Amino acid sequence: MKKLPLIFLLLGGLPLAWTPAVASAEPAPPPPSAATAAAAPRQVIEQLDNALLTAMKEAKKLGYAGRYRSLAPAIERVYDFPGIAALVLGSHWAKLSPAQQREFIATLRDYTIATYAARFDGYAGERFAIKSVQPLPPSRVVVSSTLTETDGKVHTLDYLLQPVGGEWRVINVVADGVSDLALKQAEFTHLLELKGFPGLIAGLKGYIARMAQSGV
Amino acid sequence: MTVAHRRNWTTILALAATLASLQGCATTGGETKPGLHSADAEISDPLEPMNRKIFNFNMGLYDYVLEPVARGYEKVTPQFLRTRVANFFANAGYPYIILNDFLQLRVHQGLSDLSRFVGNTIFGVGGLFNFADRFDLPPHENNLGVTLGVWGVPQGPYLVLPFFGPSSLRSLPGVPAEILASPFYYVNSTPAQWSITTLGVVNEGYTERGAVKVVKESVFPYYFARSAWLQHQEYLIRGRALSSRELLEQLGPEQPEESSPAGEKPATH
Repeated sequence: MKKLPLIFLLLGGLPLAWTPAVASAEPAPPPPSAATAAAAPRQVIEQLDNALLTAMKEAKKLGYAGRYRSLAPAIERVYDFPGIAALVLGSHWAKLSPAQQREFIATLRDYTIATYAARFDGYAGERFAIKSVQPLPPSRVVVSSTLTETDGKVHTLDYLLQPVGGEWRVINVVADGVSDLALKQAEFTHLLELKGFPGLIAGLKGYIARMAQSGV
Repeated sequence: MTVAHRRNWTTILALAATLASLQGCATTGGETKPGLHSADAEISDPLEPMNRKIFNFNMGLYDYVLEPVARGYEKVTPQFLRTRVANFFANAGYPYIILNDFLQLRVHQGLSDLSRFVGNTIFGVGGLFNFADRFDLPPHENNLGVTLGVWGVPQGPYLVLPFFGPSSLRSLPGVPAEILASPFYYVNSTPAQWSITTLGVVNEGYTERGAVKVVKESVFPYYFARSAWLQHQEYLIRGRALSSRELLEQLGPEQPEESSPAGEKPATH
């Protein structure tokens, strides 16, 4: 029996991506050479970490709305929201209309940015560090990083990336062994089965509103 | 009520408070159901209706008791004092962690945690100061449920315990074990027991409220907590490591290639 890992304070809702329907429409990704597999994914995560550190250090000045605006571009660059949407909803995805799929993807994007903006609301000397970049043949890459808190506690953040439309995009984040994709699936599919698609969207929008209220 | 009984009760109350704050953590689904989990973390929650009632009770307990008390505590005490109190209780939990480190034969982690405990107890004035932070001795988590998992004991059904929060049949013995391993259990003075217990409850409400808030604000708190707790337990059992196979399995059932042990299809490449 153990406590909820503190990492959840930071990872309230990271998106994970890879959408069969949308990804298949993208141009074929470049076969990741050894060089690109080692360098580009690292830069993707560095960009995210830098954006987060900036938002954390200026958290009070920016406020929730400012952090949302500040983080949105980096988060949109890093994550493959269409892919995440399809994976999270699993077999339910194909049953949605194209308009519903677009609505879910857009809401998922807001959900993710809102989570980051609300959770990363201060800075006390936390440090991000990339520990390794390892290929997962044939085309995926895992970037392993750490987040060290001021009390010395080290959290692991494993980012799983794959090429989408010629760019590396994050499809899952595993924080201290907890998959963000699995968390979302557990929550979202139960809500979808219980309340239908309108209920799912309403649930996500309610969450976004709570983030805006508590994010300050 | 005998002194011994009172002592147990106060210790249990202290631990209960600790767990109430944890309550929001993690878990997923009631049925045994393959999801976006490793095979080891497959979910068995046959008692979901009862678990959900207890979960709601714990959340209410937090809302109406622990959180207001924690808010008052924050108002009337300086940050310096609150940090010392949090350090003290965290340090007192280390004998239980160290015991489990060695029961799992994780000798390096055990020696690191032992050094942290001894250093903080002696040079950190009974754990009030984090002396070990000056060295490469990071804090770790551990518990008896993880030890039993390392030994191959199956997880069993997921449980939500009143006050204590997420658990499982395998983790259940951890409740009395944690009490017995706590130095507070061996304090003979009843007034001291009650004082420590009360302060421990307040401290838990204070230090864990951020985590509880995350759970409460999630889209579906019960499933969020269940999934997170089960996944994190499996991660600790594996020695805080993820294999490539496990990372790919996380990509779920949409992938048409190779089947995971849980019946999921790993990613398409």
